[in-house]
Amino acid sequence: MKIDRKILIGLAVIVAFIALMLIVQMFVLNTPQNPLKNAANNTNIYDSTFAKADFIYGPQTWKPYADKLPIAPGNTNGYRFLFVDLNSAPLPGGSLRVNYSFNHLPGAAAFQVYGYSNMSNEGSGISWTNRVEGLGSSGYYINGTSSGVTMQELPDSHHIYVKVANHEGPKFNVYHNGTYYIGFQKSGGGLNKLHITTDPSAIDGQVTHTDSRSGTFYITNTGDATMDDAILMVAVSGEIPDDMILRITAA
Amino acid sequence: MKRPYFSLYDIAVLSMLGALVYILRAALRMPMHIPGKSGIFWVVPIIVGLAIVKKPGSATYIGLVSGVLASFFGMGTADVFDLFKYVAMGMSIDILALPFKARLDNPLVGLILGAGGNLCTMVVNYTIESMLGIQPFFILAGIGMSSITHFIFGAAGGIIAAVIIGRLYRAGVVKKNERCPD
Repeated sequence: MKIDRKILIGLAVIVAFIALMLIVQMFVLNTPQNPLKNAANNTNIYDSTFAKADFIYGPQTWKPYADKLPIAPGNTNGYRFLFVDLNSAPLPGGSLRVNYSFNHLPGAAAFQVYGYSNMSNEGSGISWTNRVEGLGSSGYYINGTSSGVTMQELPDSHHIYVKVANHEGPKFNVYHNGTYYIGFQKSGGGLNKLHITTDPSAIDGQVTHTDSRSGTFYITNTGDATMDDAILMVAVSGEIPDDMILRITAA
Repeated sequence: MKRPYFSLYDIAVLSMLGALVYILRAALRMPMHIPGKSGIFWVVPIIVGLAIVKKPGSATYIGLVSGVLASFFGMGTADVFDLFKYVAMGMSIDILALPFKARLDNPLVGLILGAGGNLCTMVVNYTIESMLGIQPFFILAGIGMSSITHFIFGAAGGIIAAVIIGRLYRAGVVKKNERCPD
């Protein structure tokens, strides 16, 4: 058989395969049981409230990563923050819905997300977070003003162990000390898979600023890596009053 | 005494190219979350190695070496299962190259080998993920677009490999096997 005919046959097979995959994708996305469309209707898998005493970290202006990333870019206020183990993680291409509600929020607030895996390249630990600056950044920020606070920063941004505010402790207690290990391979890595979005179909996420003290956003996973857990970081600026309550639900 | 299938020279060249695949994956990180993007440089050493050694199984051997390195040094998230991805790419390129033999310097042949290898990796990768517990829905929901990106980057890598092979032939560094018919 001549080379030209072999090439044509080879190309035809590849094109037919791709066409078949596109047909499968269209069929699957249009099925009634599309869980991406039903994310808003899923029953809660996590529901808890937090008070002033749960915000054990900070005040500081940066969130843990290989480098110190700003909690709220452009905002130099110190934030107190906590970590919430959502007991689930968005699957590749999927989303996790988070509802929040603040009572007596003293200033601004920021939501960031981390991804945990038992099999990451750093061992068992947190290896993903949402990008906060530049192309592909996402986050959810509540507007507000607050007075200055005295900074009390974490000892380091990286290779540290952090406690979650969950009353039942972390879902994966592999180090038997109630903490998660934050270990990113290198600066620039682990920033492209997790996103925060207000529209589950816009899975690349976006930066959202709102005045609302209660609302909903979604955590999405655009990578091909399966994460075992998602950890939400909630940061609050200003002096937290004794009667502040934060409720988080996830589904 | 029966001669081994691969000579010492063949083993040395294929092993170095297998290590090159691992080094390229480790060193060249593109900050875009596009499935299959690494295929653009992943397929080049495999196809070039096949053209140099000119024996079926060469690409599989390169895939095996690079897969072992990637699995043990923890390149991907599936750890030991990454070995299957690399071997699958090598095997698929070996099989696809059988009809084309001495025409690996043809860019269209390179396109077919690169795209076919990268698409085969995609299939193996998603099969492993479904075995590890990911719901098939989430895999199939993006498989169309994923196929297109795997094709584009694999084809680009295959064309690059074909150009490199053509240059090697013309420079006399690698002798084209003139006895192999079209």
